[in-house]
Amino acid sequence: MIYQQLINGLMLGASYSLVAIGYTLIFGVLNLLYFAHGEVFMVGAFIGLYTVILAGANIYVALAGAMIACGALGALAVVATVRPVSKDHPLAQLISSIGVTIVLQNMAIYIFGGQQMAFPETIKQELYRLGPVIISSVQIFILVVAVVLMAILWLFIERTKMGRAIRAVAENHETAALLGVNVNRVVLVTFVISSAIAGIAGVLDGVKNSNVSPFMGLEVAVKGLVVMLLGGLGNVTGAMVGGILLGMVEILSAAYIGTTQRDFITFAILILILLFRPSGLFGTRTTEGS
Amino acid sequence: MLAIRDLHAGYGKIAVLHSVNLSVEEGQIVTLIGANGAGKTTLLKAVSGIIRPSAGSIEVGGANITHRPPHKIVELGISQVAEGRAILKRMTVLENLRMGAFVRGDLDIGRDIEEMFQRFPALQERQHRLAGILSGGEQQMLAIARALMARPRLLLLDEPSLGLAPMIVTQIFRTLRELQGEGKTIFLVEQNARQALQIADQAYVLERGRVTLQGSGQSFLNDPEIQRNYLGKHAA
Repeated sequence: MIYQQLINGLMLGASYSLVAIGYTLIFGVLNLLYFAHGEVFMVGAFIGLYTVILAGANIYVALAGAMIACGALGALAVVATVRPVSKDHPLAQLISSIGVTIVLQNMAIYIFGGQQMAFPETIKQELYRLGPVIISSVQIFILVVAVVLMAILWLFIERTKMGRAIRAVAENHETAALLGVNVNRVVLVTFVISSAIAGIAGVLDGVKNSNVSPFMGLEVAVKGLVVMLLGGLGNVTGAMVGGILLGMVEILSAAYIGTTQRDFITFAILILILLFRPSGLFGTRTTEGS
Repeated sequence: MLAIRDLHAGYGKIAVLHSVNLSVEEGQIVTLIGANGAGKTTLLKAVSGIIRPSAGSIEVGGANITHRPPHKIVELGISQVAEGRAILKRMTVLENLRMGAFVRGDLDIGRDIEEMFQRFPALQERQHRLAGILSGGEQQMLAIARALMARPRLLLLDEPSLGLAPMIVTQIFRTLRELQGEGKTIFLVEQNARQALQIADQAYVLERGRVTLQGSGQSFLNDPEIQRNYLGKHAA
């Protein structure tokens, strides 16, 4: 029983990780809590859904479509709602991102209606028994996509020139600029990557729950925030591990304590972290400013 | 190589520099000395494009760079070793050096890193360590090595001796001399006036945002006013 719950926790956690990675990357380069990130996830889910319904596409095309469309949305968000807003007022960009949240959610309600929509079956449902655990083909698919995505992203951040530039900008804008990094471009790339990952996470969530709704972004946005704090602000590896941890904790508390207490426990963790480990479980970020 | 004409700059509404004129000839070491708050760092930030001058011009090798963004200025061969060393503490020594070569697209980066290791052997030993755990002197060497990785024509340094032990300061000034011998042009901002003037071909004094004196490094060392105001503490 416990193994089964751990698998379920891993599934839930993988999607939290994917969203939290984006939050963390954006927070890293801009010191900005990009609240609209959950809505990008929602938009990704709908784009995946419509790719599947209208184009009769398979799940791979849906994932690619959501990735590209959400990446473009990320670029648009930077150009239209981040760059023009003054950096001198610390709250201005946060409020601008809340504005984006409202616009995206209302556009989704207007276009798709305010109800849940069923996500058609795109992966043939099969169950596999691995010792004490039953795992479905859908679960395996989601897990593989999430793990592959995280591995690619980790390699990108740690091993490529652009990845180093992103880390340099996250550590200090001025230092990065003095080394020849075009900081504006790095911010743009970071938004595109984060948004593309959120889009994929949205499609995976639609596949997992077999439905999507214009309101699915909010919960994910809040959970992603908890994960980011858990993993340490601006720490990508922390976001990956933190997401899995939160997923495990939620599933286990739902299984052994009760489903109604699930969110209570999540936010109790958040408060405990803020009280006792404000830099997160793996936090290394110092507050040297940007 | 560097010509600054009638430069006015500051932060928002606060003006720091008032009509600064200054030039650095190719192959020279030029130093700018001045008290805290005179505007030395502001001047370097304006040259590197971190702050936008409100008036005046900055030319490098005949190209006007006054309103170019910082990364374009680095591409022109101007690297700055910023105040307080500004190393990337959460990256390894090796990654810091690679970041130094960010503007380069050639394949000689590995060879240049080897060269830096020969110049600063302490960096080689610690190449896989996080730069944040290096000592102050090692961090300063890393900062200089990282700036050199861009293969700059003009190297700007903002108080490289700040907070370092005298032996290490001597070593850093010796390195600057060596770099001059290799054909680099160096613009050095310092509060440690004595050692800076000893290696400088040309020197300027900045006081409250204005250049008040200029001359050769040697003439400054013998100038009674300079001795009183800037070398007093160290005078024998």
